[in-house]
Amino acid sequence: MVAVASPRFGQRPASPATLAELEKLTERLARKPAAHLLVDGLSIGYSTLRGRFHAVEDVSFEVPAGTNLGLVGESGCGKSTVVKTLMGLQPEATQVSGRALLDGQNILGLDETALRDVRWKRMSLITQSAMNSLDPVYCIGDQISEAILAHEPVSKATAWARAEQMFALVGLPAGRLYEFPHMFSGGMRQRAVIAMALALNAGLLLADEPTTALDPIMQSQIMTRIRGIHAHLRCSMILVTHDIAVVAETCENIVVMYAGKVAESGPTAEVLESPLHPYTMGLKNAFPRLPERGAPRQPLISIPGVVPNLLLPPAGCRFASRCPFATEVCHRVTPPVVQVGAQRAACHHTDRAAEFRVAAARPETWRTMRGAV
Amino acid sequence: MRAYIFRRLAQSVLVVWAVTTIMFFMFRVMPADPTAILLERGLTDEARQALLEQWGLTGSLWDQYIAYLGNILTGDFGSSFLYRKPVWEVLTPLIINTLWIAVPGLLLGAALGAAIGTAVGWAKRGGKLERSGIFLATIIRGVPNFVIGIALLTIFSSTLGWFPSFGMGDPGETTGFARYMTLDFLHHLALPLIAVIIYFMPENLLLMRSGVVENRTEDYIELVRAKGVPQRRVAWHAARNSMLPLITWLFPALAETIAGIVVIEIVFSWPGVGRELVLAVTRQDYPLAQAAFFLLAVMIVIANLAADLIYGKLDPRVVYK
Amino acid sequence: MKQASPHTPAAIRGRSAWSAAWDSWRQVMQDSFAVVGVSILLLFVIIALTAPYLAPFDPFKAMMTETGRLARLRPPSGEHLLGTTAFGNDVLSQFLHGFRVALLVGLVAAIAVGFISTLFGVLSGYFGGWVDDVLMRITDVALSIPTLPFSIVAVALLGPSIENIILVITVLFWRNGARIIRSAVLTERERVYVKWARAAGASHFHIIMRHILPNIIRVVFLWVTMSVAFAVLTEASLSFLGLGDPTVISWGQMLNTAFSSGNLRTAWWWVVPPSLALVMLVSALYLIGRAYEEQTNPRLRKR
Repeated sequence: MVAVASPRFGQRPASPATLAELEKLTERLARKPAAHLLVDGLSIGYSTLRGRFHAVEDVSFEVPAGTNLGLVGESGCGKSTVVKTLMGLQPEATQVSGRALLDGQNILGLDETALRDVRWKRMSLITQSAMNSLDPVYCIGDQISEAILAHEPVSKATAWARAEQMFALVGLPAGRLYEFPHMFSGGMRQRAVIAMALALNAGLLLADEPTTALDPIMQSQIMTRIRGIHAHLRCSMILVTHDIAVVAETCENIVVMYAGKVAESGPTAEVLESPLHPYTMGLKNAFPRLPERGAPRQPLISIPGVVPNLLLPPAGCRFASRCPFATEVCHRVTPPVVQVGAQRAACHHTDRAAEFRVAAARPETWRTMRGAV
Repeated sequence: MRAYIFRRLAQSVLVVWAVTTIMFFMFRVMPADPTAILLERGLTDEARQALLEQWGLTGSLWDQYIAYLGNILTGDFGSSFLYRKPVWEVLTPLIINTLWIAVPGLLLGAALGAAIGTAVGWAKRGGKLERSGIFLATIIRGVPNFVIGIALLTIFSSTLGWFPSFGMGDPGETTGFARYMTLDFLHHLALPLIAVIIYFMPENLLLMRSGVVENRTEDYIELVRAKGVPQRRVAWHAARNSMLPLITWLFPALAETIAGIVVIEIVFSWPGVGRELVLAVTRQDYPLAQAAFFLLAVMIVIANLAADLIYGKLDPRVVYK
Repeated sequence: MKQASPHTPAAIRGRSAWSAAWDSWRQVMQDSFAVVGVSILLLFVIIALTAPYLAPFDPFKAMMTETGRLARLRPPSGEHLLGTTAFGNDVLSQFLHGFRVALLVGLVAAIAVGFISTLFGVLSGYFGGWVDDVLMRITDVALSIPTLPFSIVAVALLGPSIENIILVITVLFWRNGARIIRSAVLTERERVYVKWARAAGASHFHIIMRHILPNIIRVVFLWVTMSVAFAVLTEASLSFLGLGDPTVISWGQMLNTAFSSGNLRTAWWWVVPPSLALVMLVSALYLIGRAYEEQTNPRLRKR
């Protein structure tokens, strides 16, 4: 039984050789351009004991280089599945189809060796539950160095020095690199995970609900930190969250997912200002906003019902059973994707969107709807 | 840390005391009269009384118990009935012999089991490697240790003639530690050592496999994979975390394993403590049997203590209080 | 005792240990390795039951040749399918009688161990308090007692007989079982439905029988299966060391005689059958035990 001792060289000031190497590494990493990602017709299916089902169906979106994309929706709508699949982390027997072009190269279905070249080097991940995302038996510094050493031909001392830089970036003292995950608070662990994700300055950052496990104050601190770092590093980012407000502040573009499908997508400002899909309207209602000065306090409205069982997806529009505006055709025919300006929505009634928006702001619309469970 | 070790030591002493007490009652209460066997050899009454006094068998049970505890505290286990010399003189050289097969055997068995167990645990679920690995390990685990010994003896000693079939070899001119550095000794050591390894490995393997299977779906493994390190390195993270339950399991397992070594010593006529215990019991040499049993129990207590401290070294979350 | 009426909700009524045992058995039988184990075990039980009729000779009878000499170490032939021992006994007859001893010791000891471990495990886990303290201290000490050396000494002092061997095995192995079952009970005790049932006025006896026991029954089965294996192994080891019951024939004893008479290499027909039978029996038990283990640990299930 071998215990790998943590490298303790960081306790001494780094040697000139290390500093020189670190400088070269930093320069090299800073030259990395932001990545462009195009996801086209992505479907992800599982076989379970009770049959096959698609957790994600025909999802398409684009992340132009240097921009942020917000991926929103209720729990279980397939947001995290998309991110994990992009990273190649789906379970063994998953069926994946479609394409995901990272700077023109399809990263779906790469073998382990080819994936290694993509992971962390060109695309890194901030995980959902930082509480459990760190190996409990290694100190944080070792875990960050491990990522650096896996991809860059530098000495251990240099990797450690780089980890110190990253810790400074997320506002953690370098000395704590020697500590183990259990000695960190939830917020500190999340920051450590972010530091790890930034270590190689990957062109695309996947942030999978980075603040879900934290308390509200910590959430806003972490988001501010991510935004600040992002502005400084200029990489592209996909931010998975169920918090529309965060997307509104952070992302140029938004993709709203419902039950494994894209309900609506487009520039964030436009989608949130004039949503086309009733689900987006409902989602907007479900989040508290500070009332504008003088205006009456807006009521908080939640969408009644639950996400349908994906093992037996309903015919027609998946949102129909919870939609206050659903008509007969919605329960029968899968809606087409309609483009209005820069926005795209999968709804039969995009032409009546303006009328819906007015009705959707009234709480009774959602209370009196048909088919609510 | 120091306080913790001190408390654990105190605990161990308590356990040893309990074991000695159990031993006292086993040896003093169960057989009607430990000197009966000697009487059959035609001792006079006076000689018998002298013997009883010599072995502290006179007086009430309570007096005997106190005298017995006093003797053990001073390390005096009395004299062997058979060898007619202090039991320590008989047992001391045997301790080293037992350790020669026990320590490398357990370490190699654990290391091999852990390595193969990691491979099996990391293999595709329901795949060929996983299924055959589990099946073989379960079968080998079911082989009684004397059957392992008999098989090794028959194949490699009697049939192929590659290894000697019994004992430790002739020390010849060499004495002291040099005795263990001869090719002849290692030649004799090979088969019993292999038997201990085969005996100890499968359970380690299965346990390690369970640990790796449990750990491979943990969130932290996902992040290690996402970092783009080689598969081997990812598996190492799972293995490293699986070692912790493996060490907890070693506590009760050591008792079984040291017990198993007794049989292996018998099969290979390896002059160790376990073999001497069996011989002493069958010859009704109670002082010797008692001391050998005591020794084996102390070995287990020491091994448990070591496992406890190693666990703390491997798991940073453990705080010694 | 207050019995729950048939109208009480299912959550409070709980279920019987029997139905839980049956469910768990059906689940185990979906594991192909366990099916192999159960088949071997069944075969062994049938042989053990019919052994006196199957065995061609009295296992202790010394065979004579036509010339009136002892039929020593005869290789397998039409008359003696598995040959004879160095003392002229028919190996097949001894081998077949060995099934009876192995299974008798295994089953009786396992039932005793299973009963005692469950009793102590449930009492100490469910009620806690001083019962728990005392039990834990006892097992702490017991875990430091080397098992086989203890059995060697105890059997030698008590006298080698099947009853004493079973007694010693029971004394040795209940401690691990009680510990394992206790920790399973500890988790069950904290479940919401147990608290509900308690709040609804169910008695301790009712809760233990209908809520705790059905949920830990797999752990009990796992431990009983393993205990059969340990018991068979311990009996075989003791017999191999010459401490078996001299009035019966067991596989360990056969191997002991072959070993101590120095016929290991020559008389393969004497050595192979008992060795193989021991390996098959113990492995079969481990294969079944493994399936229960996989069941009791949800983290091992496939996802």
